[in-house]
Amino acid sequence: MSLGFRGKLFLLAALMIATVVGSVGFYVEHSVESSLRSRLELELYRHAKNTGVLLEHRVDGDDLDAVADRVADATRSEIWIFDLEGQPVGSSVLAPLELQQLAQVSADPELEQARQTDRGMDVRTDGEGNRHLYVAVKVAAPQQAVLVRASAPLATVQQTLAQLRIAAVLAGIAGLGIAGVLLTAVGSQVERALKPVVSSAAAAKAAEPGDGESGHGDDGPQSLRTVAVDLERTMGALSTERNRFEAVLQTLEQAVLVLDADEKLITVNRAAYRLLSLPERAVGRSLLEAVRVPQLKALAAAAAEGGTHHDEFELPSGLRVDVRATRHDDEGVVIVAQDITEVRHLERVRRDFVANVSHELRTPISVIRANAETLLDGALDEPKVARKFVEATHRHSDRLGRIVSDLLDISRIEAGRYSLNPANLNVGDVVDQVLDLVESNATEKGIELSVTIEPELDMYADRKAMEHILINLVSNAFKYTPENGKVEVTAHAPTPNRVRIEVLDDGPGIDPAHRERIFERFFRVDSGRSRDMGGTGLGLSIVKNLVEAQRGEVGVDPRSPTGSVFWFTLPAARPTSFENETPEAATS
Amino acid sequence: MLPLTQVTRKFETELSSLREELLLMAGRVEEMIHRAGRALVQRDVKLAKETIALDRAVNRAEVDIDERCIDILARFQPMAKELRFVTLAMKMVTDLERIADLAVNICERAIDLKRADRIVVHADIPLMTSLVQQQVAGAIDAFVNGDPSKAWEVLENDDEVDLLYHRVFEDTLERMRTDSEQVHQLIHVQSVAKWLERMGDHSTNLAELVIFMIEGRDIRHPGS
Repeated sequence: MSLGFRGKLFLLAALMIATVVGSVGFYVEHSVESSLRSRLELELYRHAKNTGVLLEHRVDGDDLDAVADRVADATRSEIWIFDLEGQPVGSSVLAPLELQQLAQVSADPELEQARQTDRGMDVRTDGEGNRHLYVAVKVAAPQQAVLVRASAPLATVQQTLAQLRIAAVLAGIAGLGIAGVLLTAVGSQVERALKPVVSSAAAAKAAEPGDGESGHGDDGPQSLRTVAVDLERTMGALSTERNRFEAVLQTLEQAVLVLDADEKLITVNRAAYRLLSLPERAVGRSLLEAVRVPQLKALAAAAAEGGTHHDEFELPSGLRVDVRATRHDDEGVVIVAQDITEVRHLERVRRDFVANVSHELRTPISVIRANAETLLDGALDEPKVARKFVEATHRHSDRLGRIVSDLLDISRIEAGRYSLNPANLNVGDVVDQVLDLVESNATEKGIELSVTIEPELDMYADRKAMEHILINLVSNAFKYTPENGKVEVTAHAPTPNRVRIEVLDDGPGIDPAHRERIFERFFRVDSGRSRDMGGTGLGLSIVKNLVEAQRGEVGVDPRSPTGSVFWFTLPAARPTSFENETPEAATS
Repeated sequence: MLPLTQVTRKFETELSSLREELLLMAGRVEEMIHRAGRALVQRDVKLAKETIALDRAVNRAEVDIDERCIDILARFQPMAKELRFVTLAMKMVTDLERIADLAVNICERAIDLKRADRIVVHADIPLMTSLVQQQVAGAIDAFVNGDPSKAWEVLENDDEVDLLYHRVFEDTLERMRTDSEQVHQLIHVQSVAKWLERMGDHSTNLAELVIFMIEGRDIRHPGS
């Protein structure tokens, strides 16, 4: 016979009630028995002691037996008086004559204890099967010391305990009755609630191919098991889906922040921490606590009203971001931010390059064309004037040629087609050779030139490229240093693997804002002045490309109080055994 | 009269709004420092003018936050930590507003210096700007996170700002001696450094207030 759903619930409740009532009953019974016995023991002790007091103060000739009777009447207990040998000398149970005939010496344990310690106690069952509690005390009566024993049946205690057991059983039965009623009501409701689930699970199971007949006998629990399995499967699928979503979110390069309706962050990906410099454990914080960017706050507020909102702005870190904010279904906002610093920088470089290259090429072409027109218009017939125009034309065509040549050089370096043949070079030799070529410019302006190079300093570089780099840097230093100024060239090895060459000038210096752009093609800090000095605007760009093509670094630092330090580093010379190896394709 | 739980909830909402307004104002001020520094170094007149325009929002925020604080004090009579927070907010807005004013001064100098294209801004000015920006951000972060160690860090780092200021001062003085034609512009550069140094001082005020809010002890003027 199988129990129904409600039957099982009832059985479970009955078991629980029985366990609770049983364990509580056992504990209570034990405690009550112990307490009642202690109380009875104390009572009997007092009776025995009182008997002793009466014995101490009895009138001469007063019978011991009479004292025992008096106390027993008053206390409803049984009183016996024994001499120290255990011979009864008074009893509330026996008459004096009967007592005299009783020649038996008692050796009960409580008397033995009282003889030794002045007090004794024992529980025994009498001949009729009733349990009694015996308490004995030693009394020093005037004539002789005696042992007084008071006893009472434990029936009262047993009766109380029996009443307690009946009460526990009745409480258990009442509990079962209440449980039965409650479970009937609750069971019906649960059955009603589960019925559609069970039915649909049973229908689903019946629809499974090859399993149509099974599950009809006891389809309730079976169907619930099916539901449980399905639920587990669904939870597993959801968990997998969530992990996949998390993986995608965390690998995105764009920063993603999801806000709840109170503008608190509920989801943040790694890129957001990086891009927006979020504090640790940003989730749970308000947007403004995590990132104090007013534009971001404004976007989130606008998106919370609905629609998608877009803005582009610079963060306090200097990064430029493109941000979109959209409201999501739960009335929160999703913010996606992308770092576009590099994109905007490249756009600016390209825009400036196009503008600059057209300008740089147009200037000499315009001059050449104007000179040619002037010559054609009649200047040719005046030899003195004609010569001036032809010289100017020649100068500007030279400049045009140099620009085109520099542009081609850059293009070749960038494309990896500039032939570099690195070898071990002595830095001092190369610097001396370059300074011989350009020193005359310094002399003309009265510039003091000093060279400080560590002895025996060698580097691994292409000689032609090195000369090109140094000519550009030293010529620039001469150009921008005022008359009677000072230019220094220094070279040392900051580490065993690198050589650093610096060109220091006394010029006006370069504004911090221009420092990062000074190596761009055609970038000019002061365009009019540079052009007057005959520069093409490509020199520093070539330097940068040539240094980087040889795995070096290049930069410019300010010089205090005025001037600039242009520096570059290149690999130090390789051990001699490598010299004969195939030259490295440094432009790759 | 509203029940006690409702009053408590309303009080908490008011404190939370005050906190948000304060953070928004701080964010604007941090943005102004960054923009002012960039406008100066890049001689970007447009950016300088846009930054000057932001000052209006900061001034408005100062007035609004002050009013909200007085309203909270009158209606809820906050005590202990909450009282310290409200009084701190009133003091913080004053320092933040002053920092914004100094950023405006720097932007005005950026516009003036644009006309003198040859003058080179001292190399330490961008570093000072970045440091001051970090100092203000550090004080506000300490406030947001209730982190006194961060506030102490701000107090310690102020020496670095002062050091940079003295370096700029000495170098500018030297340049004035050698290039007397540029004295007028160089005075502008010197003023910018002084204002950045003042911003650093205001950020230490903010840090001291944050320590007062968290630890309940006043560390200003320890010798007095």
